Amino acid sequence: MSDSMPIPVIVARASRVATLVVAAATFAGALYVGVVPIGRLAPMGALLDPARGVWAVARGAELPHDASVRVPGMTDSVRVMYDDRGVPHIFAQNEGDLMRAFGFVVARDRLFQMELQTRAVAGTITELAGGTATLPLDREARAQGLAWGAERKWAAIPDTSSSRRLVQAYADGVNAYIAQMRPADLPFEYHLLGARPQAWKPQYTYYLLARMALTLSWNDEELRRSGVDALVGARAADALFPDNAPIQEPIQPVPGRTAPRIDATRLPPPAARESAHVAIASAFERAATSPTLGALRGDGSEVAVGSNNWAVSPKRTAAGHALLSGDPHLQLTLPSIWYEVHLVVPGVIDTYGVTIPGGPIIPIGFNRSMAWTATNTGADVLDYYEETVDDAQHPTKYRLDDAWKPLEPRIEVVRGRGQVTLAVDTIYHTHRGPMVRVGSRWLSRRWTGLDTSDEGKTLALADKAHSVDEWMTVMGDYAVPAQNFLTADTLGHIAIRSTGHYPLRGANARGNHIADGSKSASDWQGWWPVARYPQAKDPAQGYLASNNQQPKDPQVDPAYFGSNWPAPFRAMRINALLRADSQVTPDAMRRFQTDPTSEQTTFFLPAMLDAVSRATVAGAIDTAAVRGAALLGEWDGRFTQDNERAVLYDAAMDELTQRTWDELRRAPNARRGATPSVTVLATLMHDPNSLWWDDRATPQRETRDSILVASVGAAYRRVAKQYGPPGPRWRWSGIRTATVNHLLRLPGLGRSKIPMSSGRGTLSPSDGDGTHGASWRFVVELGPEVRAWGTYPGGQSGNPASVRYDDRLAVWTAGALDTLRFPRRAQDIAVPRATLTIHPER
Amino acid sequence: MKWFLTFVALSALIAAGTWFGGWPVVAVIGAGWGAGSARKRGVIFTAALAGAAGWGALLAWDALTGPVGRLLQVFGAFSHLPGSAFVVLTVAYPALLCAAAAALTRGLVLFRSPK
Repeated sequence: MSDSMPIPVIVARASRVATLVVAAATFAGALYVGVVPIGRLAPMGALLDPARGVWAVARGAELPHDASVRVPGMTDSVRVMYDDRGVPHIFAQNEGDLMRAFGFVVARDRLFQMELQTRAVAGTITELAGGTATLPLDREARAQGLAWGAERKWAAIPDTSSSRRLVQAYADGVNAYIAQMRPADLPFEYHLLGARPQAWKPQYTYYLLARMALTLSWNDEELRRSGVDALVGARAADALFPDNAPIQEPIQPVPGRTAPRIDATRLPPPAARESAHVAIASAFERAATSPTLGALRGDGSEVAVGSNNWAVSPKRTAAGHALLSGDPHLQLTLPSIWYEVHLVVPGVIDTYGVTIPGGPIIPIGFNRSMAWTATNTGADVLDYYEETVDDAQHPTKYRLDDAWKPLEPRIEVVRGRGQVTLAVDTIYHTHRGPMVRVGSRWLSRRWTGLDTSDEGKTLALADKAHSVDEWMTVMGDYAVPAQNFLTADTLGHIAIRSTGHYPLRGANARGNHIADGSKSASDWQGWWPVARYPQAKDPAQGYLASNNQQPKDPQVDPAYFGSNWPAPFRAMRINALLRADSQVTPDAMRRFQTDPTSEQTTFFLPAMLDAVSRATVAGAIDTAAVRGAALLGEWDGRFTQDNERAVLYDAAMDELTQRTWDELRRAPNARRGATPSVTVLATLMHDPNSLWWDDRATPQRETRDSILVASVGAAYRRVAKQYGPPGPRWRWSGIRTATVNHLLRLPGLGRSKIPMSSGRGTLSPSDGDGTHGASWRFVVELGPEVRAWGTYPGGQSGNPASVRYDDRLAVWTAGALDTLRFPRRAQDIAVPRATLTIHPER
Repeated sequence: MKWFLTFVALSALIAAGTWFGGWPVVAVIGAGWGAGSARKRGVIFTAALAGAAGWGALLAWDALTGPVGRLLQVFGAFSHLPGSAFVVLTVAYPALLCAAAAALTRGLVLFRSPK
C-alpha cells in the first residue's frame, strides 16, 4: 500500500483517522456521562434536559390558575378551590368522587413523599435510592414486619366494607394523577434519582398507618431495662424505670387536686456489678438500638417528642364557646408530615384538618360541629417473650406448653437499584409475632401494631361525627397507635380519652419485663374495656389537657398501663396557665403553645443555687461554680430567645445527668444504654446522701450537693469555652434552634438554625439537634360559626422550587397562626389561588 | 447572514427535538448536521453553538414560566457550588454532545470520500 500511495496522502489519511478517533472518543464520553448515573444521581443527559429534566420542576412549581382533568371512575364533576394558603377545598357530590379527587390532589403536591414513606415501611428505600447506606433501615423495617402486618390488615378488610371502597377510590385518584403527569409534574427527587413513581396500591394507606404506629407506639422498654438490670440489679432497675411516674399530674383529672402529687420514694442502691453482666447489657443495648427510631429516642434522658393538647369549657372562655388547641410534636421534615385539606360532600362530610399524604382520612381537625386532636399515649402495647427454640442458629420450632410448635419463616429479599439482591433475611414468627435474636436468646414480639384492626374505617367515621359523644362512641373501635384524643363541640362539651387497644396480661405479668415464651399463660388475655380507659368529660375544673404524661393516677387505678413515663412538666405548666385564666381567648391558646416557661427548673435550679451557696460558706468550691451560680441566680427560668442564662441551665442539667447516672454506663466512656426519667432525678434530690450520687470514677464519696456544685462549675466552664465570656453569644436564639431536614436529608432542601423558645420541660420542648417539634399547631373556637387558626413548619407543596414549599415556616417560627378558611360552598372562596375541576372520563 | 440563519434554524431544531424527543435527539441532530455539512467550514463550531443555544432557549422558557431562581438556590446549596454553575453545565453539555456527534459523522464522511 505504501508503494502505491504518496506520503502526503498517507499523512492526510492518518490525520483524518486521528481526528476521527478523537471525535469518536469525545462523542462516546459525552454519551457516557449522558446515560450513566453519577454516583446515586441520575445520568446527566436526562437530569439537565431543560425540557423534561430537573429544570422542568420550575415550570410545575406553581399550580395553574385554572386546570381541568378527567379521571376514570368519577361519577360527577368535583371542584377543587385552593385558597390563599394553598389549601385545597374539595367539593364533591359523593364520597367516592371525593376520595378520588383527594388522592389526585395530594399526589399533585406530595407524590415523592408518599412513595418514600411507603418504601420506608416496605423496606425498599435502597431500591429507589441506590447504594447501601439505607440497607440497615430496609432490613429493620422488614424485621419489624410493618408491611407484612399492613398487608394482613388490608386482606382482612371485607370487599364490601365502605372503608375498603374509599381507600381504593383514593388510590385510583393517586394513580390517575401519575398517569397524566407531564415532565414538569415529576417531583424533584425523582429527577435527581433518575426514577419514576411506582403505582399506588390501596394497601399503602395501611403501610402509612403502620409507620405511624411504629413512631408512636413502638416500645422496647424490656430490652433497655434488661440491660439496666444487668448493670445495677433488678430492684434498682425497677426503681429507676418505674411503672408509675414519681410526679403525678395525670390526664384524667383527680377531683379536687390542683397541684401535682409527688411520690419521693428512696431509690434502692445499685447492686454490685460482675463482668458477665456487662456483656449481657451490651447485647440488650445493641438490640434496642434502632436505625429508624434512634434519633427520636436519643439516650432517653429527655423526651424529644412532646405533644400537647388542651380544651377549655365555655364557662372559662371569654366568648363562652369551647376552645381546643392541638399541638402534635413529631419529626420536622420538608415536605411536612402533614397536608392541610378541606373535604366537602353536602350532607355527608364537611371536615377540615391535616392528613398524612397517602391516608384518606383527617386524623386531626374539625368539622361544623366539633374538633379533635391527639397526643401520644405511650402505653405499653408491645411485649417481648423469651422463646425456647430447637436450634439456636436456624430454628424451626419453638416450645409452648411442653410441645414443639413450628416457626413460620418469612423470607425477606432486600434489593438495591436495578433489583440487585443485597441481603436475604429469614424472619421467624411465633404465634405472637416476629422473633429477634439478642445475644444467644431468641425473643418474640407481640405488638398491637401488627394486629388486623381497621383504623382507616374508624377515623373516617370519626371525621363525620356531630358531637363529642358520637365521636367517642365511634372511636371505641380504634386500636393503634394509642392516642389521647381530645374533643370539643359546639354544644359546649369537652372530653378526652386515651384511646387504643391495651392488653390484659396474665396475673403477675408486667409488660416491661421479658416474659416466659414457653407458656401460653404469658400471652395477652384480651383487651381493656373502653370504660376503663383513662378519660374525662366536662370536668368541674373546666379544662382538660394531655402532654404524654401517665394518663391515670395509680391511686385511682393501679393496673399496669406502661412505665418510664415522660415527665409531666408540660402538663403542670399548661394546667397552671389554664387554672390562672378564667376568660381564655383563642389568642391566649395560641400564646400558650409557645410558652417559654419550664416547670422543670423549680425542681433543680433552687437546689443548684443552694448547694453552691452552702459550699461557698464551707469554703470548698471552685470559682467556676460560684460564677455559674451567680449567673443562674439572675435567670427567670424562661427559655426566651433573647435569654443569655438558659444555656447555662441546659448545660448544668446535662452535666448533672451525666454525673448522676454513671452507674448506667457499661464502661467509663461508654454511652448510657438507658437514662431514667428526669422525674426520677427530681425525686432523688430529696435523698442527699444516696449512693446514686457517688461518682464511681473518683476515690471519694460524692453527695447530692457535691454533684450539683460540680455540675454548675462544669457547665460554666463548658459554656464559656464554647461561647466565650457571658454575653450575646450566650443568647438562646443562637444555641437552641430547630432543624427541618428534607426527607432525604438533601442539603439545600431543608432549613436550619431556626430560633426557638424551647427548652427542657417547656410546652414546646426541643431536643439537642432540634429535628423534632410542633408539627402542626392549631386552635379551634366551637361557636355557632366554627373558627380556626393553624400552621405547620413547611408548606403544602413538595416542590422545592415552589413558594409553597416552606411559606409557613416564618409564621410557625414566630409562634403565630394563620386564619384557616372554612367555606361552606366553593363560591365562598372569592379569589382562589388556583382551581381544579375533575370531570368523569367520557 | 446565511450562517446566522443556519445557526438559528439548527438551534431551533435542537430545541424542538429535545422538547419532543428528549436529550438524545441532540446527538442525532448533531450527527445529521455533521454528515450533511461535512465539507463546509465551521461545522463543529456551529454545532456546538447551536447545541448551547437550543438548550439555552429551553432554559429561558423554563425561567419565563417558573421560578428557576429558586431552583438555582437549591442547586447551589445542594452542591456547594454557585447555582449558575448548573446553567453553564446545562448549556455546555449539549454543546459538547452536538459538536462531538457532528465531528464524528463529518470525520466519517471525509474518511470515506476525502474529496
